[in-house]
Amino acid sequence: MSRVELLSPEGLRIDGRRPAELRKITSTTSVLSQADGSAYLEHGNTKVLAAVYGPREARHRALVIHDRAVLNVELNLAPFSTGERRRRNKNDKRLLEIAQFVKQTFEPVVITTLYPRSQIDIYFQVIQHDGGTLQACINAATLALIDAGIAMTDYVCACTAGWVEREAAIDLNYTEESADTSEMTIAMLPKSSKITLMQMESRLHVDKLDEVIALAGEGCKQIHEVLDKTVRDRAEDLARKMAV
Amino acid sequence: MDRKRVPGPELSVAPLVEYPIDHERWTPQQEKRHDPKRQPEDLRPIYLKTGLISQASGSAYIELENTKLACGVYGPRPVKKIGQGFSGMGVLNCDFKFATFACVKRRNNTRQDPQEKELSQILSQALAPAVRLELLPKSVIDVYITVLESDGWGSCLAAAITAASVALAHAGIEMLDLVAGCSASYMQIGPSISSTTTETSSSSGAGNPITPQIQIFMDADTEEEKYEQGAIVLAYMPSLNEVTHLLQNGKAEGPIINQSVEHCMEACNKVYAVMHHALLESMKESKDA
Amino acid sequence: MPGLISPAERDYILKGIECNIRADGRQRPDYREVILETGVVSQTSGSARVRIAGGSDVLVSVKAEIGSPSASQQFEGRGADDLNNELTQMMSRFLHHTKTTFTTPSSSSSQGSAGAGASTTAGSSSSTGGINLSKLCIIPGQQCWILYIDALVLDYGGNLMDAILMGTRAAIFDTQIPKTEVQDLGDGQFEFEVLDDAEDTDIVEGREDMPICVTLNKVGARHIVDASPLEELCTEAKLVVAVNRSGELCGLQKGNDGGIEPSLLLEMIQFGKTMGQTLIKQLDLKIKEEADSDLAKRQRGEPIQKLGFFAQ
Repeated sequence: MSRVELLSPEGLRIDGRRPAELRKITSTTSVLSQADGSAYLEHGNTKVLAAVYGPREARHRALVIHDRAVLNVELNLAPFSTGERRRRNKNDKRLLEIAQFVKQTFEPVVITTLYPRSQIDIYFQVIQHDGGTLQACINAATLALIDAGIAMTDYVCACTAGWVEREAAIDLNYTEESADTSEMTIAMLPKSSKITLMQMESRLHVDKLDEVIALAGEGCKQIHEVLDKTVRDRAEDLARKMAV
Repeated sequence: MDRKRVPGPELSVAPLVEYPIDHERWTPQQEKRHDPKRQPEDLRPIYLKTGLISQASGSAYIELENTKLACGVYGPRPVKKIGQGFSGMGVLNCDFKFATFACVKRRNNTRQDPQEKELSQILSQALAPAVRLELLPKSVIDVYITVLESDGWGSCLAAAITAASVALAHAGIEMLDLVAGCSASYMQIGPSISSTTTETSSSSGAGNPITPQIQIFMDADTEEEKYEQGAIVLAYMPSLNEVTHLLQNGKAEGPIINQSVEHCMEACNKVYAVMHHALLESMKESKDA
Repeated sequence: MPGLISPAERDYILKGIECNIRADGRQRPDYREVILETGVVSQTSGSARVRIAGGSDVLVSVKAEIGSPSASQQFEGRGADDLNNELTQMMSRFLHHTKTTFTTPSSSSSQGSAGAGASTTAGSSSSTGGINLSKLCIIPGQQCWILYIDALVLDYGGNLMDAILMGTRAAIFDTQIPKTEVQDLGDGQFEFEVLDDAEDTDIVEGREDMPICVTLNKVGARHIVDASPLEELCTEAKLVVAVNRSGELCGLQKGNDGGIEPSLLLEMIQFGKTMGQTLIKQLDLKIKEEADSDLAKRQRGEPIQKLGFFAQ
């Protein structure tokens, strides 16, 4: 099998980016009328829609925790989101796993003790899939939670980084992900630089680990700026509309 | 000589068998139906009887020649789950099921397939306007339909509506009126039709100034449904003069639809008489017993 | 979606409709503003997003994939709950050779998909949907294009069915199917090649005859179109009328637990037919406008900007 050249001799990646360059991020909030908070986020060609409902009364009595809220995360992949059309079961292991990661990421950040005996639902709809679904979901969830006005200690910004052929690279796309590169997703609280999620399923030499984490951390900081700008723009827009 | 076979007597003739229907392939021709005894507006003879299922609160069995189905009504009973919430109105819960052998293709009997689910929903929408659900708060009425043999998709649904409303009456549930169901198919008439040329027929439909003649056949069977351009199923309350359900598929001009709706309503009146008769019979029987 | 309505609110809506003024200021036969954009998802053969102002938001995608024709040519539907089942079955009835599936991930964003399976035996079926299936055939009896139609309901604000069918029509108009070249290897063996040329593609034949539908809601003795969620809760009976461009009826279905008088029923069918024809005309105009402007931009080499979610 011929291997795809992921890094050109000039040091450019398959989509023309430099190793430490993020894809274009665009985002907006309040896209849905029925949800309490919603956000739409694009990382290049990866497009995710997040909707937050709640805090509301827990659906099942068994879920109620008397002193804090429960987070419920569901992820759905549109059948047309990937190159080949495929229907995924709602209980697809891979989707459940990503949902679980998102849940674990946000549990320490959302101040759940403010909403006892209630439930906060976060739903994701992946409209187009081009690598980095987890990071896109986490970033979209941050925006949607802020849009819903749910108390959090800080933003959560996620970014993937990996070792592509001979260099550390950031924000891998689908082609890079599917080749046997080592890939790691970290989620970070930008203010304190604390890491709330670190996920890696492939091999990476321990000497290279520091470099990759540092690069991903750098990416998180950049993403934070974009997210912060979206939130501030939206707030300004609202303030202007209220003043009229 | 073949010793194993018993030879017939020397003076033997072929048995006389009367074939009910000629085995030529039937194609739609005006005024002549798959069953040559029927006129276009004729329904198949209906056999309707109540009280077939002894365990049910009310039941009915209906037969239109090869369309046979049974209906059982259970309830009203209290809502089982507390979690289902309070409802000031009763709930009509319909369950439509084909027996595994009911259709040409074997059906799986485990769970309701989407078609059955939809038919259940249609049935409940068709019956709900007649049943006085506001008198039965916090209760559920279960209507179970089992199709034993299906000959024509539309007639099957229509028969189910008819049987279910008779079964509801038999169960003594208060209703405003009986709901009668009827189906009709419409198709192009003429010798030129052949099953292999949709393209030519559609192009001739566009290019030919002579519009193809459309004939409406009431209560079509499977053979006729193969040629249909579309079909209509109507549920109607004759005394109240109210349509409780209408379902149409297939392309058609407005006047054809209007005409078939009217035909169906007329036919529903005929079905209504049969329903009345069946209920009166059941009253007589219970009095005798 | 809200499931409950107070008697006072119901009364307000009922009386308003009786006086021909609805809660949002519209009259009975008025449609809300419809926002349409085609070509929004790049990974599909064709896509469209339809928004009805202040409410329903539907993303429809058409994906053409190669598969073998199904022998039965029956629709398959899978439904997660009642609403989905109703929508899929209705859609497959109106579009005729469509395979539909719907699931709901959350209370307001539900997702469905429908696939139109093309078969070489298209001749025996009367095609209501209008798509000329024989043109989707590559090798008779063996290989054909299958059009999968997926409808993703992103937001609910009443009148979902109309929005979905409008989106489907727009997405089918946007669909480009790659050309194929078939080689005859003799003794019944065929081989084909998909030509990889983005400029030279086929359109879906018969797309002009795709139907759209108009949902009429009977409230009191009157009927309204394009009901809002609250109005849908007051509806006694609704009638979905599917119409194609030439004004032929392609499907009718009554919904909800109420009856309709025969005279009103015939009036509603007639009204739905006229309304549907006007809607189709306007829709086609918009689709054509957008396709023309996209083509002009492509020829000038300008990038085509799709607003997608950033449109406000």
